[in-house]
Amino acid sequence: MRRALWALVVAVPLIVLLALGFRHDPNAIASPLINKPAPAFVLHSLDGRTVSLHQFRGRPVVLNFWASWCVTCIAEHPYLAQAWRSYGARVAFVGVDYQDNLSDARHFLQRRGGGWPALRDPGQQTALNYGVGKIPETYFIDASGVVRYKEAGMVDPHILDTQINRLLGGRR
Amino acid sequence: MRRWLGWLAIGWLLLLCAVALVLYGATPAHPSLADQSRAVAAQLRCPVCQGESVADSSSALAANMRRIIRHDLARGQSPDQIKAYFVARYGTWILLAPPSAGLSGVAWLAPPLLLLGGVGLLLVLVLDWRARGRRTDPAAAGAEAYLERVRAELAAEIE
Repeated sequence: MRRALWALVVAVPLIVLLALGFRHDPNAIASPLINKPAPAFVLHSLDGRTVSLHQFRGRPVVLNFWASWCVTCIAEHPYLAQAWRSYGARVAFVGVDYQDNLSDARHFLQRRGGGWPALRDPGQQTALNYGVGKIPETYFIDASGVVRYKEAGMVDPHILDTQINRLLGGRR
Repeated sequence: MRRWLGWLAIGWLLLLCAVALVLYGATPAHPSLADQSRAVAAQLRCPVCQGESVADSSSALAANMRRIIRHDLARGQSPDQIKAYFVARYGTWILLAPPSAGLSGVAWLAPPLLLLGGVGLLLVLVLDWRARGRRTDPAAAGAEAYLERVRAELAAEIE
């Protein structure tokens, strides 16, 4: 009887710990940047323009880290393009090309479309400033320049609509 | 005499372990910039690898992190300031060793506590076994008369 009691005392907390551990996705790392000012950047686009985060102040920003070699980025690109067309000038879409070849990145955009700025990130300084790990990663920044949400992995229409509407204060 | 020899052997073993630890943990008085940046990079997790440090990873991201570490150390930033920069971007997940403060401190406390618990359990079990041994020892339990009778009966049988 005592042995069974001891086994329970040891086994139950272990099972509870394991159950809690398996429910947690080890890849889902909460960004410490949420509700903090978005790290500033001034970068050059693939077509040579200078683009800064500051120039979008007053509008929500969807900041997407992507690359031409990233299969998930190919899958999410139509959703981004759809949202970009749908929200128009009310939301700024910005792509940061991550660890990519310039000609491959240009070819990607020519083939798949997308009229929002695509920026080069030398030395991955901006990616590191945002704590980017495995792309794609998308940051939703409000009109005052504060990071409100990070999606690690592919965005879909539901995520884009939900987060953009939050940034717009419920206005569609 | 044999017991003393045993204690002496344990003492020597502990002394050797302590010397090995001191030698292993010894750091040069003035580490070079490369040594310092390697030490910082070894404490950071590569964000695009599986359980690899920034110092050991061959990924481009880790190489850029090493470049930032070297650059910031050369600018006079301390290793703690550099680690704080990465923690502010990636969270404490980026540190290979969990911080000793807060809930993560449990990870530091758990091993010595488990070790202590194990030693305690071993001690209790050994003491329990010894006590049982004494209890079941016929002589200790006052069974000398019974044993005497058995011996007498055996002797009678043999005769």
